[in-house]
Amino acid sequence: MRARLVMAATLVALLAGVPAHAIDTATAPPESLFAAGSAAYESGDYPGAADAWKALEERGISAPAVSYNLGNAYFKSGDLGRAVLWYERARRATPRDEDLRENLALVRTLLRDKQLIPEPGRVRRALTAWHNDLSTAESVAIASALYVLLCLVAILVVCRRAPWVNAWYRRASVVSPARFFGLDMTQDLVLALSLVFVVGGLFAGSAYLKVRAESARSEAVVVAEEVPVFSGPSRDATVQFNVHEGTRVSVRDARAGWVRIDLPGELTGWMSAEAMERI
Amino acid sequence: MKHLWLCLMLLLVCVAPVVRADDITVRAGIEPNTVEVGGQVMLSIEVAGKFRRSSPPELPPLPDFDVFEAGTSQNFSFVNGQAHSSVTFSYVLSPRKEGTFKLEPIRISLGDKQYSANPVTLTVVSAGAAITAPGTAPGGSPTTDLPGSDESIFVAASVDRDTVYVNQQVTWTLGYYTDGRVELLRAPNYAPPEAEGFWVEDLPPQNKYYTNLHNRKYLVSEIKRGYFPTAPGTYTVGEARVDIVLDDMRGGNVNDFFNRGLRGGFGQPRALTTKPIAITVLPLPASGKPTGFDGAIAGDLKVSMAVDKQVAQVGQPINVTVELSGTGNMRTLALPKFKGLDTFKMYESGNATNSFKQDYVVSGRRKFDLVLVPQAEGKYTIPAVRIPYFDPVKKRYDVAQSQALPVEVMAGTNEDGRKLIYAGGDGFEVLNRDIRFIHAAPAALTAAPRPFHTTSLFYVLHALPALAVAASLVLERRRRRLSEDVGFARASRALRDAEKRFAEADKAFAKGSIEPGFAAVHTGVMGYLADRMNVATASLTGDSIDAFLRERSTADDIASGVRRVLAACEAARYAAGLATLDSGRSLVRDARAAVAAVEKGLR
Repeated sequence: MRARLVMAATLVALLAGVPAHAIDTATAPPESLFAAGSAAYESGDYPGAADAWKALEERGISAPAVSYNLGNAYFKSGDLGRAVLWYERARRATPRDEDLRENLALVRTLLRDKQLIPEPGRVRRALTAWHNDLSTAESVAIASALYVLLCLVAILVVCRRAPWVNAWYRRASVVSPARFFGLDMTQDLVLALSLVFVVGGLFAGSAYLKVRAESARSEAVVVAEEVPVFSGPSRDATVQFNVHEGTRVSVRDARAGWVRIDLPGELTGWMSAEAMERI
Repeated sequence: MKHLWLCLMLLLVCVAPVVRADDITVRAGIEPNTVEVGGQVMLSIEVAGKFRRSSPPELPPLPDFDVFEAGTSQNFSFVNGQAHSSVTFSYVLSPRKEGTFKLEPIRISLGDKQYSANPVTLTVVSAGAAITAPGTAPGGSPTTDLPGSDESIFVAASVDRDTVYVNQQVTWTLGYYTDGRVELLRAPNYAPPEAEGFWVEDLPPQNKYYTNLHNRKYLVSEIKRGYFPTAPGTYTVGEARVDIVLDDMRGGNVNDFFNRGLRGGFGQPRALTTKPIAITVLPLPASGKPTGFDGAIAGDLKVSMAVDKQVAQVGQPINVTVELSGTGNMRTLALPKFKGLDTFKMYESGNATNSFKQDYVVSGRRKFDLVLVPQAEGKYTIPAVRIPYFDPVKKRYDVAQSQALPVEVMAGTNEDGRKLIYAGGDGFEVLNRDIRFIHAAPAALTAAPRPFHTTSLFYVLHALPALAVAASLVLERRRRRLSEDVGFARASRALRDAEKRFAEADKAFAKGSIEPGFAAVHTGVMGYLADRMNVATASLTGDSIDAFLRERSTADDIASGVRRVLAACEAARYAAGLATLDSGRSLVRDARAAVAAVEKGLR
């Protein structure tokens, strides 16, 4: 009860205008830090808001709303690179968040390297929505559910001569479209097995790519204003091109202080690791 | 080497067969393809396509040539997300002897692949034999600075006209004259003239011919440049300078190093210069100026316009290409603004100019790429592009105009399926665009738990369905065998059936029914053995049972145990008065033990 009172008092004080930097970010309750960030943002203190929300992240308290708000705070601070970085981090958890999509799209229009952002057509966007519009956890859950379904159908196929399977199929086949094509039970079950296998394989592949990208942290965003990309991991190597803040890159290799990046259009090279942050 | 003329040359690639592989084009060209001994030709090797890096080409052995690298030029473009590069490697070849030479193979490595260029052929003739003079000698121009003396080597500059309009081409020619009586120790060094107030375009290729001057035959090498004045007034094309080093040992023993050293003869430097040439630039005539004239100056200007689609949806971009072509400096031409396209958002996505220098006249094509994004459905007309311009050759104004293009815009939907509406015009208008506001605090702000899919439990749970499938396979196989193999089915249930009979015997003895109890034990044992042997119970005999147990390598004590149980049952059936409840219960135990022992032995 006492703790609740303290928290409530803190929140009231924050909303009354206590600056974000007046809070001890190491010990303050997460709710207070979040509220401090929101208050700072609303008062126009965008760097202060970013500091408060960043402190939450540094304490391991990760939430899509925190990442999204950090993107906003960095955008308002003029740091487009970190704005894209945090929007991309938020997108992993909430890829269908309309506000997030809108803000990310707006920021991208302001990037100097916007021609490097692939712009898939409508058809391609629709065809890949099942992959792009699902978070990693959702993709894993769907892939797991389809895997279980695949095993169940496989059991039905294996036991197709058993009386209980026949009895079950007589009831279930009422909703099966296969009966319109004159398929028998075995053909119907094999068709269902193939279908679940293909769809499950797609989702499993999607989930695998996402999990691998997250665990390897192979995607990154350039946070420095302009970064030369060299032909090798040395400042003496040839500068091939420059990348600018907000550009999303794929990290393929890393050496002391250097990372090898890939960009669309088969562009590749080495840049300083300090100039980018992994998503 | 004689008459070395190492100076600026723009690349001119001869039309040649093209070698293609994997979107990589490697082509070689030589210009000119006929040269005299000691002259110079430019060998160009162009590599184009999608590649990241190219190493220099490997030239074939050229023992009869002096070869000089003349630089590398690189072009990089990014189209539709694809990077395209082209690299041109240039070499100056100076033949040492006459003949016809086929230069091959010219190879180049890109990554781990090797590509070959088309072979090029060069004809080398003896000095003074092959190069013929063009139809006209330099001159015919209002201004030239040919010397009056009989110098053995000199330079002269001339222009094709000295009075022009703004942005009209003046072709300036530098002639390098030599009568062959002097030798140079090294290549001449050419410095082009200063020309303030002009936009300059180099005009390749270098031209060579012979001419007679002051009763002497000169070999003339020409370089041409195009000058485009940018404003009315009087301007000057400054002096060009060619630095040469004459061989002051001519006639002596060139191998006599000590003699050369004593005479101080390591070459005699000399600077050859041309005279500056004044150019009068006239203002454009005031009369006849068409409405909308915006200073465009070109010869024979043509305008065309094309769209990538004539039917689009609201919000769907329409790519428009406007192309201007004509003679003169096309880079100065701008695209006029489209009017009457208020329901479109318009973006200029790029422009490019290609220049051509046919017969030393600069011409070109200027292309503008536009994107029109329709905001409302309806039928529209992209108005004709109209460009009033002044033609300096015809000395009059004219108007170039493209066709107007109709487009139809259908209703479109956004990503959420909502119909897009027009967001401009006199009514509703979007004034500013900003990011959306921050989100409220989530219900719980706690440390993010480890994702479930990274835990061991996730993988353990995923093993269970696979195990279930494996188990179903085993069970289904067993079920199928039970239904198809009677012997297996009887053997499988033999023990279970025997146990049922023994249980019935237990119940019978518990009720005090002695005969039914013994009968149940007998039925149980005989039934078990019949099931195991897959024969009818009635066909069982003591011998057949012994034979079965022997065949299955059952121990003698087990067989005797079975026989004892059966004998006890027979005795009870035929001498019921001797049987007691205790002996019956004991028999059930013995029967269970005997059957269990047989079962164990059979396994």
